[in-house]
Amino acid sequence: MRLVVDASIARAAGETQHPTSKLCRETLDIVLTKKYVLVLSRAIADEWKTHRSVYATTWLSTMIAKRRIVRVEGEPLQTFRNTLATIELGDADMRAMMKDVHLIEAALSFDRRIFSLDEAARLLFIGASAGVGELRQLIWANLTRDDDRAIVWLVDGAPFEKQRCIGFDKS
Amino acid sequence: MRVVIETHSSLILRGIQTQVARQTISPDLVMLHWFSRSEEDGATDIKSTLLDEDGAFGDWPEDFDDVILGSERAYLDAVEMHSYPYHE
Repeated sequence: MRLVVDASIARAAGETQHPTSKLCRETLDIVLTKKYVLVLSRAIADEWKTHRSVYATTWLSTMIAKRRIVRVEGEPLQTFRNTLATIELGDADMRAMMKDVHLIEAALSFDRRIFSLDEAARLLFIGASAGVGELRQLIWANLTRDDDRAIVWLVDGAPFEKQRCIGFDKS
Repeated sequence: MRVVIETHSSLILRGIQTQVARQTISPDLVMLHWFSRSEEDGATDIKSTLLDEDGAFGDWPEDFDDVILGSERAYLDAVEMHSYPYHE
């Protein structure tokens, strides 16, 4: 199973901010021990390089040494971006959403699962999902949201569950 | 010339991996052997592997890096708990 892990987790894993940092270390540990594969596009790798902590650096080198990395060119999915750009959104929110669009593109290229701490971005993509079908095929798990129970889900193999998808209508 | 290095140092191993990734050592010239004692009969088991062009060895050996990562994690967890003693 190939996962996108946002650099926000890499950064927090090396800090001692309770309880987020411990959750991030636990998540990275599960990714390692449960033999998940990390998706790295150039943009994601650059963000990891900028934000990663010593802990995350050690973790990443271990993942590379164990051949548990899949690299993707990270070419923009232009049709997808064009659709996203048609969403009615303020300039600041659109910029914020586009800043994280590479995570979505990487996930769409593989197993459609993203782990992140970025709730603001998640909410923006939820808002856009009604008009963008690709988003509704993705799971964006926020480690700090109790509702996501992301760690339990990860331990269980991160099965694809429709109710976890971006913009899933619980009604 | 062939060199045999016996080590418990992940730093030495990582150094060799780094040189392979930098293409200063060909991966064809390196072989890794992990020795462990069989729980069944006490005999020595040997698991061998080659490095690829990234200096990666795959899932060999199972716990070589995990010790360092585990100790880092334990330390950061301890500091976190110490800093926020009322949370857990």
